[in-house]
Amino acid sequence: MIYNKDAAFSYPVLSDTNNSYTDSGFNFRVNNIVDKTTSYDIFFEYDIESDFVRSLIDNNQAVLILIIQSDDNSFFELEKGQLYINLSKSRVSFNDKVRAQLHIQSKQNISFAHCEELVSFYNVMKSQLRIPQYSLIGYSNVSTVRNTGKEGIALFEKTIDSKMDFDFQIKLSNKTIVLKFKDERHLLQSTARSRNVMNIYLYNGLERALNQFINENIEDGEEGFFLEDLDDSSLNDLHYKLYQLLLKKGINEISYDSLDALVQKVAPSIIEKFTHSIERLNENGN
Amino acid sequence: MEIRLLADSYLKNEQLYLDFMNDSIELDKDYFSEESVFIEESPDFPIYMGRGSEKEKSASFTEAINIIMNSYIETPREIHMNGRFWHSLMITKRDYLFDLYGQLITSHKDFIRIIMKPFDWESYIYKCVLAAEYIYDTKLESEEEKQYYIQLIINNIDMYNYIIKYSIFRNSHFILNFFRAVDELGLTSLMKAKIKNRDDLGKDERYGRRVFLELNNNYPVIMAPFLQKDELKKEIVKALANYIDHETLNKIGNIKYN
Repeated sequence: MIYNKDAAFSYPVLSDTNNSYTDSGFNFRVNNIVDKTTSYDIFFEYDIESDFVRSLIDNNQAVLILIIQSDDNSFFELEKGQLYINLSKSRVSFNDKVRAQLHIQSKQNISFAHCEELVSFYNVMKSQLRIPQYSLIGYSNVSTVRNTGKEGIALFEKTIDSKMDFDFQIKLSNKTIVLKFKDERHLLQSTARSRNVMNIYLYNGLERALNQFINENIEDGEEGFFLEDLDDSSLNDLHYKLYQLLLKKGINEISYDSLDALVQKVAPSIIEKFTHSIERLNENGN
Repeated sequence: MEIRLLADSYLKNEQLYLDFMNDSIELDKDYFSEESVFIEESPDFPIYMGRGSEKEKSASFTEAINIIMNSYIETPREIHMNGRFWHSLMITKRDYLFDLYGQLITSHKDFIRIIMKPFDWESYIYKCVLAAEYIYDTKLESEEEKQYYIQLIINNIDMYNYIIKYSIFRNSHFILNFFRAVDELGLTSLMKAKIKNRDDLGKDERYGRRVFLELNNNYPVIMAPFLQKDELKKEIVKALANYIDHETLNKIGNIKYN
């Protein structure tokens, strides 16, 4: 029940993309997800820019509803001022992308006669404007909820498969760059030479992933695109991680021509982190 | 209890089928991965409702939904909404399943169709897991009510299949409310029936499906998933009125249509 089409409503609706209110804004962000073993705490924030709509909620004429969509839709009526929700792992999984949105719904008939914030289009008719219970008064942007726990942020994943035809292979999953090795020894030698070999694997994996990222986000016939123009909620987890990484490095313009430069900008910190973790693995014999 | 997960490519692995049939499944074969999941209990339940009389099918559904509700849906959703988990679990139930369905399986294809059906709305396990979650989450007071809703879903399985394909309606509150509303309106048979004299709608159009289409089109101006039962009834009747005249509708159902 996430809603992001812009349908024609016969009455004013508050959203970032609807122009019924002079200051139309309804912004929603999921800030943090805390993994609590059998459940998740999800922390969020929102801004409702209309005094009129805020007062409807304050006076119990309208209610905020949080919608969480993974495989299924769940909705939760929020108490006034409620900024987090606890969800059982038995009813939500972050294996797939989870999206969230806030709705404001009327709890009784509502008249717009005294709303002073509507655009002039409504001047004449607003004294007669009434909406029944269960109507949508406003909807926020859609926020993609991503698990940023330990596994959630890892860019690389390594697997050992002794039955593989090759010594080494790169696969891209929806979440990570998977480095597949035939033999565990490839991973655990920390000589300078094998470390260099490892760097090449990481480098190749990264290049492959960035190439896919460009492929899937470039418009037909264009040579490149800007990160700021992407709808980050539509990206899969792997692409979202790359997107964040590139932004952190101050990169905005993306094209095939700049692929090598991109890899070189983001690679050093990743490679350092990864080899560090492998070395630790080696030392602990785990 | 530990359930060893099957390897990624298990659906293509004919050896798995052969070993299942010959009762020679072994953990070191390459259809198993190194991964496991742990669950507290794992009772048997029927997984194929594609044969037998309506009564037999209904009994199998009832048994499966009850067992899944009591033993499986408290696991993390990462487990019980994952087809690889269920298929791996089925491998541990080889003797039980072979007794039930062994005679139906004469090829790898049959094995996939009956034991390893991809985990989506066509899978009987999938349908039963969702039904179990929806009924459990409604926190019904009595056992009778639980069983009432289980029967409602089974009696309306065609419409239920249709709903779980569309994410907008996949919500416990809405699904149970909807079937109860239809039942109380006395419209269960009508909803399953084909629409007559409307060649413009395409073949095999049924009243129930059109009602969903109308509710879907009206969302979010009318937010059907949030409605209370009595309001939902009004919307159902309003949607039906596009396809059937008031007089006929009044005769069929418990409706006082003005």
